[in-house]
Amino acid sequence: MSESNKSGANSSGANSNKPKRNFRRTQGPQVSKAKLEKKRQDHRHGSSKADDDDDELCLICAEKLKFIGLTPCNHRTCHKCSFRQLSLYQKSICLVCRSDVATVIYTDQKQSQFKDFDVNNTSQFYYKDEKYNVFFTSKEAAGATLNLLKFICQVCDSNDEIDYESYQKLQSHLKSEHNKSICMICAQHKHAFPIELKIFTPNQLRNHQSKGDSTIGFKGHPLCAFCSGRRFYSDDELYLHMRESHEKCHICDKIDHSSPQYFKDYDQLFDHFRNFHYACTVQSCLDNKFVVFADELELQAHILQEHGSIIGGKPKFFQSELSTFISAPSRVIRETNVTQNNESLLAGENESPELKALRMEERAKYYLDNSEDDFIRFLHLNSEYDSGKLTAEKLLNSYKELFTTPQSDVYLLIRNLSVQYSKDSKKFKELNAIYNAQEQRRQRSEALPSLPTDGFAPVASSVWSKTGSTTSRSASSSRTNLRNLPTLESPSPNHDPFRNPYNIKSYSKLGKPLTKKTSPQQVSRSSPSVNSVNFTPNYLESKRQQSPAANTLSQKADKLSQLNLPSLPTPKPKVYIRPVNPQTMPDPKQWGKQRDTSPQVEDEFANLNISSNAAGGNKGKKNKNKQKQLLFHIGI
Amino acid sequence: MSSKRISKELNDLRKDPITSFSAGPVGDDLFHWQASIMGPPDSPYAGGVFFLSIHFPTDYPFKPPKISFTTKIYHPNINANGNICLDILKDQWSPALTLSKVLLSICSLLTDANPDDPLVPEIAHIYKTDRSKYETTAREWTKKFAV
Repeated sequence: MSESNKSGANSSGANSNKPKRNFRRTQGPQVSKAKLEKKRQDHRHGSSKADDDDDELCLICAEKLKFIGLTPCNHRTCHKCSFRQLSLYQKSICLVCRSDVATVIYTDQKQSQFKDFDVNNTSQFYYKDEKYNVFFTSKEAAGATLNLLKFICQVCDSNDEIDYESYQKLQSHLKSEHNKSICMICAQHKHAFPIELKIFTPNQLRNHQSKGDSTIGFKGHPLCAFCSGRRFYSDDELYLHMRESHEKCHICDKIDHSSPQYFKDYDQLFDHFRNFHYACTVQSCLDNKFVVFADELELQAHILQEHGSIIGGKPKFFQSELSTFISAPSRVIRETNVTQNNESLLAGENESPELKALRMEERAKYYLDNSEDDFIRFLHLNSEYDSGKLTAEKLLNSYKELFTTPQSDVYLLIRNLSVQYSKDSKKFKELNAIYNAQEQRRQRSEALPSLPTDGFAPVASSVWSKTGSTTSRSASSSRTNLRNLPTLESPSPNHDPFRNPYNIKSYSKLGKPLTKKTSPQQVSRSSPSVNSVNFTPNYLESKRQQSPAANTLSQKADKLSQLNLPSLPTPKPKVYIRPVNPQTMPDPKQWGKQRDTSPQVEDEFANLNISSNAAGGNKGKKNKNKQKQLLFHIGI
Repeated sequence: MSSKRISKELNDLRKDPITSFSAGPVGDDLFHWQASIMGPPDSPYAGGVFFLSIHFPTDYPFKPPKISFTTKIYHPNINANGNICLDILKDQWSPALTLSKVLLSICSLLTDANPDDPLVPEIAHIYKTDRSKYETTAREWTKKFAV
């Protein structure tokens, strides 16, 4: 078993690792053949030691091996598991490594390997089963394996073994002869051999189906709430049936998918839609089915988008019946969900006391590498603290001595211990103070400027100074951080003016009303001496040109551009510089997005460079720009 | 059949405990276990202790155990109900796998999420586009729910 555990620890469980792991598994028995030989001798001498040995147990069912099923990949399991996989699950893949298995050899020679046999030489075998293409090396192996499939009555005398050939025939025999029965649901789905099925009296059968048997982890066959009396093998099969035969409310599912709401059919589901959600009642949507929304806004958006022509822009006419009475019920549900989450957020503290204790213990075990002695010491420390023999500080220091592994975080243990006391208690407060102090220290060391706990710094540091020498260091680091904070923040206002034009630009782009746009142009004309102002209307115009219904405006723009021309030749270098930044940033983006006019963009940049030096050249280029814009007007 | 195998797994776990997780039955029910996983140190879940609930089906080990997180966790492959999207818990299950191997797989899923096969697409998107944001949120959740 140490073999299997080691291999388990080595592999992270990823698929790629599996063959390797399985290979290791098979290596085990092969490598330790000598050891096994000895064990077998022990066994012969009457020692029961080998019973516990993994090599004698089936890897799958952990039963003792009597006959083995040997696969071409040299994996051995007990004959039952192997044959169950082949005959009942109808999978010809290896149980261990999932590789395809063409044939299986059933033998009582447990240490043999597949290559010891020659499957082409059938004389080597006692029997070959053609249906499953499996070989048996002995009569016993063949009998034990193939008899599993027989429908033999377990109640009748075992001397006259009659094979009833099917569950139906076996069932009718049991009913008529013994007034007993097997569970037909199990018979169909359990993948059990007939002989493994329990035989019930009618009462037992009822109990089996409704209550199950907790000793085998079986909770009864679940009932479908809509199909009267119809039971399913397990929840999996029931869900499958629900999905296929009944309807689930996908809106409720979205809101809380831990408890899905099912309805018998679409009619019932639609009633639910109408009563609890926002269904679109336009005929085409009724025909399409499932056109339903979680809240009124979504429904209105849908109506405007899909049925805008029908309703003539008056979505109110097509409200769901419910929306006039209750305001957005799903919203309410969502909000309560959120608050529930918040509660469960705090419920970290509302967890059951057992869970809190368990969390601490699991953490301690992990930190202590499962050392039992140390864990007992840990529990002892806690009880000493609980009885008042240890102060919180001493407890912390003892923790620090006890937990020396690199993964240890004694403050989390302190935290876990603290929540086990009631919130008003002194113990909770002092433990929590230690934890919080450490938390603040940690936050500081992470140097996140956004953390709002600056005000606590002096108070916290005074607390830390009690706890140990390390605190002074962290306190100083926190101070430097505090000093850093303003310097970190200071660049942001500098950045802002660069960002602002972005926002303004994009905003103006979004704004549909044309009147708004004309006004800034007028303003720009009122101050003609400043070239910078002339820049902005240019781009605004260019934007407007894209809007198809702006013929008159484009004419206006023409005039504007003509008006702009005279204003260009009066550049004042100082005035230029300021507008340059805001405009260069957005321009390439907008031009690039809307048209393939990269040369123009380059022109703009060229202008910026030249502007202060050569006003004349600038003018010429500007003219070109204007002409290009005009050409586009005509094109549109 | 299944109870023998489950007891064997329990014995193996008790004999050779594994540091990164622990597991055992809840009360007397051999088929209902609780497990706790330590947040891997090299992940944003470090410091957290996550609890899981495990149900062994009667057909175990031919069918996989049903495993879900009971502690809330921010992860692309684990949803709000604690359901885990892991291939070996579904179609890639092999009867030779044991619970401890599955739990180790879940541990490694915490370190290396699989955003290409997500259970929570929103988290997967953040994981792919803004890893630091994902890590910050995961760390916050860990602190809130698992510390």
